[in-house]
Amino acid sequence: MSSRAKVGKQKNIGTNRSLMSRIIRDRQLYLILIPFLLYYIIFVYKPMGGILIAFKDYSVYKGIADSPWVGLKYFEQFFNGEYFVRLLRNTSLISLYTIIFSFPAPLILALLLNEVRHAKFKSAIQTCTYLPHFISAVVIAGLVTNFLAPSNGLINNIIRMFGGESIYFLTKPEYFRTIYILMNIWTEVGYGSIVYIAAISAIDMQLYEACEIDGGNRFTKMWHVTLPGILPTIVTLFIIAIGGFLNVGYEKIILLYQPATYETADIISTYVYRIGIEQANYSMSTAVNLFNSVIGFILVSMANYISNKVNDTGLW
Amino acid sequence: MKKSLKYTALALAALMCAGLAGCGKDNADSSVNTDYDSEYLISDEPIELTCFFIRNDSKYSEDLDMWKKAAEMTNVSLKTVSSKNVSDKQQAFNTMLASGNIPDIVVYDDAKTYLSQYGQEGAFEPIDELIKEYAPHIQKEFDRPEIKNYVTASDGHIYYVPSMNQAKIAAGWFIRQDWLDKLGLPMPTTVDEYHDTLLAFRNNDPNGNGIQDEVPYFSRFNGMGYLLYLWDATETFTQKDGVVYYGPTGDEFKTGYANITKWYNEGLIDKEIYTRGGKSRDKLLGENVGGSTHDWFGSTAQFNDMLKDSVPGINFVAFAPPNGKEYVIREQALVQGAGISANSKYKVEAVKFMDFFFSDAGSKLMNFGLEGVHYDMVDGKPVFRDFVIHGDKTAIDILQEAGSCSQFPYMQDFWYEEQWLNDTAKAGVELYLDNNYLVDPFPTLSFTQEEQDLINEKMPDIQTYLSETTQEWVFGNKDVESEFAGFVEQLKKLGIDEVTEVYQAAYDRYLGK
Repeated sequence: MSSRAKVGKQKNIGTNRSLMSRIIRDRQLYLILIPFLLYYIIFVYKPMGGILIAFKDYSVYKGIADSPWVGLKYFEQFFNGEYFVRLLRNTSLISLYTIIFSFPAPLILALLLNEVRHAKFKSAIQTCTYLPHFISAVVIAGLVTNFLAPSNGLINNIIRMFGGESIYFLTKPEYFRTIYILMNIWTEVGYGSIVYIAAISAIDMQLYEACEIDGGNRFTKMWHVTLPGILPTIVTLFIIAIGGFLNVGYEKIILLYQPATYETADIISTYVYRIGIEQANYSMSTAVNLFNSVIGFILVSMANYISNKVNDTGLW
Repeated sequence: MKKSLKYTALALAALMCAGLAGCGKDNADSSVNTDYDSEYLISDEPIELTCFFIRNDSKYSEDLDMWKKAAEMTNVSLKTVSSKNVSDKQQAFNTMLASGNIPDIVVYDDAKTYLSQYGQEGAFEPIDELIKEYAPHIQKEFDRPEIKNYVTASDGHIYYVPSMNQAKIAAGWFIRQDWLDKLGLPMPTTVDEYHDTLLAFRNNDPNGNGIQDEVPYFSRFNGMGYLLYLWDATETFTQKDGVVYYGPTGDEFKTGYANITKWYNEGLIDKEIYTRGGKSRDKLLGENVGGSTHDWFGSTAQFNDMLKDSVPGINFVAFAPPNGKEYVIREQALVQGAGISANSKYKVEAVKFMDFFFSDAGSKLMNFGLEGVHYDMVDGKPVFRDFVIHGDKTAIDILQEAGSCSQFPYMQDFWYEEQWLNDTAKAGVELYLDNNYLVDPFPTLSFTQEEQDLINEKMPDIQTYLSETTQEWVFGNKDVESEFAGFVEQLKKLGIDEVTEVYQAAYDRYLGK
């Protein structure tokens, strides 16, 4: 008993000593680490103090410390707003659809590309699918608006060619989410697939050979070798995606929506953007973003917990 | 050997540069106080005022000719302390405020709101007394009640000098005269006649291509705002006999939207009016399908020249407002302007320097550039040289590159613009001015912090509801008459009455009650 305790104690001291001596031994590596630590302290942790302005009537000139406290005024304003429920519903639905439809798209593209044997065809496809990612959101939204224009847009020309009536898509609330999700897939699918393609190329070829010897065809190889091989990557990206659940980017929506489609298109961040345009209302924006972050944090923690239980992989 | 030659050349080049720079400087110094009488001199010794001044197109620099000239004449030069490569003005403004280190003169887009707000918190100097004492030219403008009431903050002080407009005339109604002639129609003189004209544009193929592709009314300012003016309605606050009310709660708004909904569904209004964007005027006129719009005189009339080859016979002319009233006019004072730091050592000089640009010489520098370079005096009037009006670039670009036509407060002389208007535009301007169509708009008011808080809280929801509902009416071809009572009720539920009270209080202050 006592000897065991002694051993434990010694071991403890041993690790401490070795930690210190390891730091001293690897001091050069730790020196390299310092700039990155400073980056996080200065640009990530220090500004967190700014969250305080969500509870204050913030004036830029008075500064954070001297602005008067207002408690939960801005949270109450946001939660009691006429449109809070609709905003929350639209934000969650657009996020949910993004996770269901946009998230798997690059994965599927990567798996398909992995099966292509013609190298030139493969790289041509990759280049074409990457390209939209590098075009600015304003141009993309302009293209989409033109494609969907009722008078001479591409889509409506096709509809009319088959004898249909042209539809003013961008003013119909029922089409908005579909348009938005499709546009997102179109712009991001190629770029998103890069990570998966990299992960796939890291899989040991011997596993494929073994599977082949066992009589596996292309599909079984994909199912039993490729997918398990890149599962950690998928899970990591998925958890990150969950974290941004309420942080739907507002730029593309602002460019596409109309008051007529607010019913399905108006999300928390576009609403905050409109408030911000009205007046520089920093306290309100901070309050709303704090709310977004808290929800995001809860969701990430949950996703990570489940992932650890089910898959033994997670972010922490 | 070769190397040393190179260095010698370099050294020589450096010397020459230094020499040139030195010369430049000497010239500038020696010319100070010599060519001008002391009328405009602000200080005996040359002084330098620090300045916050950002133009997004980064054309501004204190090294531009106009500013050099102003410095020569006044002995005051500006030194911008803000970075010249900032794209986000608001952020730069906030950083400057938060640092507590405020330059002598601050020029900003919405000086009316922010300089007044932070002025009341102590960042900017109340300048009403200084102006009374040291700035006779500005004071002359401030003596006009509409200017004074406009710039006065809710605490009764003035914290900024605004950019000002001499002329009110800005925009008007335009129609394809050649289409009218082709269809044998008279110029519409009432709203009903305007409706029938647009209907004829729609149905009778005035562009003669055999397809019904005409867009009778279009607007590059997304939405129905200008069309509403035909029924004297507005989407913002307004007043009748001193009683303030929210435009959309008025009966004229109901009439307006009932008609707009009808017009839209008859195909008289551009189907894509909400999504077509800022280029719709270029596109629809260029394709010879646009019939009528409401837009700025100068730029709209120019389409006749630009399109005379591609759209033969195009004659897009201004016509009198069908309801006899023109609501789109330039405000006499703008929200943009400049203020003075509360900590400045040179408050008097700064006020005098601002006043300089409202004097005859300063005003000419700002409006017309440099005499002998951009303009010559003909019969006592500054007349632009040909390259300014007919150059590769627009007149305003050329002048701004010299530092003129700046955001720095000055009184914009209509003569500056009139010189490059074409005959169509001039005819339009005359028509509107001679018949007194212009109606003064509801002023931009100054609010106290509490009032502003209430507006910030209520208005986003109200505006969301307004824009959403009006589009529903238009797209859904709804019966506005029957929907209107419920609409007003919902506005009340969203708190429009409280906001209206705030506006009324601010308006009473504006009137000096």
